[in-house]
Amino acid sequence: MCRDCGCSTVKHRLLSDFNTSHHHGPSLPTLTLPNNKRRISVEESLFEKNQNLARKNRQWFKSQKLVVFNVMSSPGAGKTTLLCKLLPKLALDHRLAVVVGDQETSIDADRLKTAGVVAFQINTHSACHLDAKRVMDAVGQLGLDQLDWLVIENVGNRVCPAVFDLGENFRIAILSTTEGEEKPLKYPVLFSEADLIIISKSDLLPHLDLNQTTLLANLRKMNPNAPIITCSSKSGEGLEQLADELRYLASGKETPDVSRYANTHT
Amino acid sequence: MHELSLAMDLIERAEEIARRENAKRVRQIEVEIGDLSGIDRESFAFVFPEAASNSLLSEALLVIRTSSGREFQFVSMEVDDV
Repeated sequence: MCRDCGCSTVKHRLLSDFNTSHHHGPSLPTLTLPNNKRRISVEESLFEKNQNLARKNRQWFKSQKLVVFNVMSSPGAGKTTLLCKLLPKLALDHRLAVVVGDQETSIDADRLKTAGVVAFQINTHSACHLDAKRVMDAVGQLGLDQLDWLVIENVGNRVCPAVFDLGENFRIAILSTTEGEEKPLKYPVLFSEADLIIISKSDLLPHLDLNQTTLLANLRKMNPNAPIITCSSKSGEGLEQLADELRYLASGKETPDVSRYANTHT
Repeated sequence: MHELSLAMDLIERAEEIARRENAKRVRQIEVEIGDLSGIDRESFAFVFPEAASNSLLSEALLVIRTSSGREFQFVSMEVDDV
């Protein structure tokens, strides 16, 4: 640990060649090199820009007593269909809204509105994920003091959204039965960071060669603790259990440890 | 493909530090990208020159240090005053 401020950057203290100026001040530790060159030791996380905004979101949500879920999956895993089935029931006893991210169109927000849910579309255009700033801009227009829950439906993508903290309380990862047993191993960040894992489209199981034992073992390898719920938006299987799990998470009996996020790693 | 926007964040931060330290050019920049960072090292290296064009880093050599965790760290940079 750094003796100056308690930060965990061991390196700059051990490199005795560096001058003594501290790295958090205006001048960073600098080593003079031949040919008028200098090496500046920076040692800072490049997720910091998004992370600072996510931290602001989290404080803002907390001040509004808002519980925020970030729902992530590959495209076509059934995020919107599931939310259209699940949320109207939960909306009976919670004031909730959905912010949904897609590259283009308002199709998903329109579907959710048709299902009777308050929804707001974000178009990310070239970007493959939502970030803290986009969420901040969108929720500014929603009137958070009127809400108990905010559900963020991220851009359909197993890779990028998992890297960007939005300030949410809980991360939900969805994997559909058609995606096979090995995806949790191939996309470790999404599944290892989830607070709840949903296996969707269980109605298709009779038609698939999916080995559920292997899938569960692979999910557990990546994430030993998160509840795993199998459900179907089509048949309704598991939806009650899922609603109960969301109520349980939102009740605050589980306190999420935000330090586990990839972006907060220092 | 969030590598481009992350590379642009890196350039912005590096220029900010370089100006504060009175450097004219950045010759080399070192970052650490972990296996679980969610960032593809090859993509990052591919988009870096585009992100660095028309900046103090336009001629900078990118050095990527690998690790097994979630790190995405701006380690250091070599600058000169000419």
